[in-house]
Amino acid sequence: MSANTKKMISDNMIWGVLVLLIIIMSIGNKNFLSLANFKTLLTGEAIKGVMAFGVAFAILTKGIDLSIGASAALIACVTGALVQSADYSSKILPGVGQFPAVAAILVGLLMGAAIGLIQGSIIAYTMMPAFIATLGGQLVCRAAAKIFTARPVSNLSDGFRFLGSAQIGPLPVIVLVFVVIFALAAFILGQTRFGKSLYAIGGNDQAARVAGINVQRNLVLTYVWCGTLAALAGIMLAGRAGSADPASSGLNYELDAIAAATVGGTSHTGGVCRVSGVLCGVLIMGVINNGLVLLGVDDNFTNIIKGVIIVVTVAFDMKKNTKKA
Amino acid sequence: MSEEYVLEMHDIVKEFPGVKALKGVKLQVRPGTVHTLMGENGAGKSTLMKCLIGIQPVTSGKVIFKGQEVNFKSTREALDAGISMIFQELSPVLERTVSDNVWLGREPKKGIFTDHKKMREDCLELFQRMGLELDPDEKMKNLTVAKMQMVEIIKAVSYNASIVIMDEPTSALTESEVEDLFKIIGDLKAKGVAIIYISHKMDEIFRISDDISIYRDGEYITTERAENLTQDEVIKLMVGREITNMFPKVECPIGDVVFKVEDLCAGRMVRHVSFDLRKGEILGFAGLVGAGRTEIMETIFGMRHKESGRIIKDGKELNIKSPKQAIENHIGLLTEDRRGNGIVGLLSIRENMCIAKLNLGQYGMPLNQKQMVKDTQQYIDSIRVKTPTQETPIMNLSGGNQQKVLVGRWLLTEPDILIVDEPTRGIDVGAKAEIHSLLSELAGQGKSIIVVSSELPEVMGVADRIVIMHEGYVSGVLDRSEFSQEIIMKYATSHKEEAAG
Amino acid sequence: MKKKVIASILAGVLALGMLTGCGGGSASSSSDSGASSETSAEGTEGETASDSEGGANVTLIMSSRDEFLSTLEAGALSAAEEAGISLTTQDAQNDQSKLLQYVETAKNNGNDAVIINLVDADAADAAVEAAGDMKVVFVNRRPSDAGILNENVVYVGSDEMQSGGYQGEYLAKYFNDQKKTDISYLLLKGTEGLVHTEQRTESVLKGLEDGGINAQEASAPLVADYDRATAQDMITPLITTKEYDCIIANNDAMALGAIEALKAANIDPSTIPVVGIDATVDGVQAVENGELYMTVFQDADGQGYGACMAVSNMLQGKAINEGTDFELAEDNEFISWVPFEPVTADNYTDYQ
Repeated sequence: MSANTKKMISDNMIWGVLVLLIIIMSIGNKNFLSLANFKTLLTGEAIKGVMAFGVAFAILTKGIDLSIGASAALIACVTGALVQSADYSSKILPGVGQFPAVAAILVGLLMGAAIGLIQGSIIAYTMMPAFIATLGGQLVCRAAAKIFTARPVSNLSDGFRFLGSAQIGPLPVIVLVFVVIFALAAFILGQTRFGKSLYAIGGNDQAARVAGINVQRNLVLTYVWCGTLAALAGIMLAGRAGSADPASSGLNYELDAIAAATVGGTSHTGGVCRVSGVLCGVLIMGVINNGLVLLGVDDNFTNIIKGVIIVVTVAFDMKKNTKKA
Repeated sequence: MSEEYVLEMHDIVKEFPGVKALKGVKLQVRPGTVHTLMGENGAGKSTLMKCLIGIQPVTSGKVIFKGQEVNFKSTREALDAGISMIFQELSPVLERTVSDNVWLGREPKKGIFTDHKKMREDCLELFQRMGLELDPDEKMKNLTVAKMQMVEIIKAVSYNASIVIMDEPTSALTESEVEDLFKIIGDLKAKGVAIIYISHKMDEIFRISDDISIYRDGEYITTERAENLTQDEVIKLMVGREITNMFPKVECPIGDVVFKVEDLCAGRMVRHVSFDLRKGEILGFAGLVGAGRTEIMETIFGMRHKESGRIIKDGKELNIKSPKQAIENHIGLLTEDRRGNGIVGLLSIRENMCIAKLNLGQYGMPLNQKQMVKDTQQYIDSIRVKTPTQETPIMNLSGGNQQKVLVGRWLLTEPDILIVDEPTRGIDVGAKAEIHSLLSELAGQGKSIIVVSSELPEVMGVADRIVIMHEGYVSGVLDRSEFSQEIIMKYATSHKEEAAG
Repeated sequence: MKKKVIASILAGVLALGMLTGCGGGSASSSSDSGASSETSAEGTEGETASDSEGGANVTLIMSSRDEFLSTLEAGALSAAEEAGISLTTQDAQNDQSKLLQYVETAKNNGNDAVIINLVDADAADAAVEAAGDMKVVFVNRRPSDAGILNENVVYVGSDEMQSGGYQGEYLAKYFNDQKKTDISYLLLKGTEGLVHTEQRTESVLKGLEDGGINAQEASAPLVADYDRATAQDMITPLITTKEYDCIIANNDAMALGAIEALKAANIDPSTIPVVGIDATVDGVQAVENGELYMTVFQDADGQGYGACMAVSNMLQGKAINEGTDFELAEDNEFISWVPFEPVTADNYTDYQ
């Protein structure tokens, strides 16, 4: 009983940190707690949040995906180019007509899945460390985006921008997408064979194999999931900004996503991940990003605070897990 | 007065959050003796040793070493004072040489450079003193587990320790290697070194022990001269009750052949192996470590590539390429390396138990959580897993209870054939007897069971027939009426033809 | 033990929070008064707008934080002090989405206006949309669609066709003095797709042509992304293998990279005309050393100053260049031009 309570407290401590940060921020600036600002905060974190739900799966299996920022940029540029209005003078693909938004988004998601499939296969079948495989993927995707177009891709159709910038009533669609992905991730990890297998693989891949789990196939699927969400994030990014830049879109987003997943309690030693924790990690990052701007804090200082928080939470996490072992 | 003992520990208390692991424990070790610590898993033996050498701080208590009160804060301090410990799980640096490992962290220096020549020479001298043939320049990873163990012992000795602690040192050794170890222990004793020995193997203990201290549930029970104790008395003191039968074999009817292996080959360790298995039968596999028993089981289970041969179940030839296919064909394998490829430590008992059935897709999507809870509870009750809740991480259980959870995992997949590889390794006596009776019960329910074990009394106790392996070949098959340690050892150490002749 | 850890984390977070709270204290307290005075200003329009002059809150959002933009920031800050505006700065780190985030946050924080240095000149409309009722001043990087400019959305910057023009004019005179009419050049381009990259390149070539020089590019196009190290790496293999009479760079950083490359190859930079744009501190120093033949001063300070003054003027309903030396564009009253100035060995001391 008391051990259970303790576990509950340590599992949910992260929410306490979030509440504490919110209190600090709202004392610092009364505008922080407004509904409009909350909307801004969520809108700003939604893209990286979607990525975080992807990369958390990879981290759960002791892996990582460093390519997501770059593949998001590549897919943002490609899908963006497909939906540029036909009469736009500096169209990236002059020969190609304007795709319907749904078709372009589908192409993007498939591309993301394919990138994940390739990386996942390399990781699963050559047993190459995911860090290396996806670092390679990052370089390739970023370069591919720059080859595809040197200029930013703008003048995107409204239909395409729906996911990134539209509103349904008071609710930004981009936040809605984030919530849907959160629910989907929670469902997959908690309610499906695939999800449970990932915990086993991350916890002990040899044991998982003996228990009849096809470790390789599940690893490939993990990176397909991760790649698909990166693609979705890329589409959201282009939609929100109204343009996609091959060089700077999604730059370092993978690090923010990894940070959010990590702060949310996803353990890099594998086998531990709570989707609600990742959500909390994303929100903490959001509160820091948004709150410190409202407090008028220099952004370099913001990054120092973020860095400290990441290191401290992971240090705590490591301590917790080594004590158990 | 205390000169009689090289080490005394009095009223040692160790508290973990919520648990009192040691409740005022005593230990007195005479120089030049082998002092064995006995007790079930969780009795506090290992914790006591960890407190002694400074891995864990004691909550309260007094430690007197060579007449001085000491309180080591780290293993380094303990080593410097003259207490070294050989751990159950070895942690050698595999990519470095033997001599690098022996001198790790205290390499002799010549100026600012490591003096490799001296390291080699000192190493050779130590080997000679111990009568060991080993190349100090060999990479650690090329050694057998037994040789690595020897290196660890050499390393412990090289500190000129006056106390060497050995935690289950023979669990990975073959008979002959055990003999070598005992010889070394004898030498150490002669030099006045005290050995603190932790083991579950009764025959060993009675061979080498001078004193035996017994612990139960974090409490000190007694210390006796070994010659004043019998095996049964020790067991009784350890478990606090009498275990009348270590091998409660239930006789049950044995049916037709349900499973057959014909001419199976897989690498060097599995050569033309054939055997059959009947319904309700327990088939034992005996042999020395490295005879290929585990490899056969892994081949049957799809973990190893099969080169040739046939595996036939219920008259149908199976082509198993992965554990998943084996499970789908109602075969289960409890592996020998429980921590390595058995449990998923971080996950709960429920998740560990349900994982194989889950992976057969039998819980649907979304997962039928209710059914999972029900299934888990069924086996927690029926095979008596001792745990506070289903959500408890499995790594918090004792070895015996972990093993029961894994048995439950396989039973949930409704296997016709259950293969258990070293099912009681590292498990205390009480739990051992329970696992044995469980196997017997399952056979009684009509399941066919293969038991691989290095402990002869165990195979002889539970099996209906025994297959004996030697260097990848089947060297003999015995019926229960023919069982004897001598005959089994004869087959285990020679080829079929020689043994027969 | 565990309790201790938790406590220390919380204490750390709190301490950080306090620190930042104190650091931003002056800004946030003034923002409160700003927000309240703004509501009163909104109530009565026109004449009372001058009351709000003292307490306006403005956020400057920069695409990134480089030397040039830092100078721009300093200019904006000095104007803010003059006009009694409370100005905070944010760095969007070349991320258009982050930039939008900052715009929205400024709106939530009750700001009166934002000064935006765009990441992507094509995506100005999203920023305007996000700004809502706030006044918007685009600075330095010009929105590619001039149609979005109006009395609430203006642009303050420099005419890039002028900058390359000065380079071309200078080089034409240099070669005319040497009686050369056919020359070849190495050209280090900035990031492709940016309006000013194209305009700087186009105008320098036009300047050469107008001066009667027939110029040929000595290599394939070199795109060094305005980066000094990239430029140096890119040009190093070319300077000893190609025939060229001069090196043109779209900015000083790349020009300095080229000079480094020359030095590394044991070529005296003073023997080859290298020209840059921006007149950064290092650039002007190089002019003084005789390594950089000329640069063009883009008045970062002036742009920042002009942008902030434009905010002040807009809030008071005045013409955006009022109180400055800058001229409005001939065809668009919502653009204020901050002029370029050539910097050579003759006048570099004015720019130190």
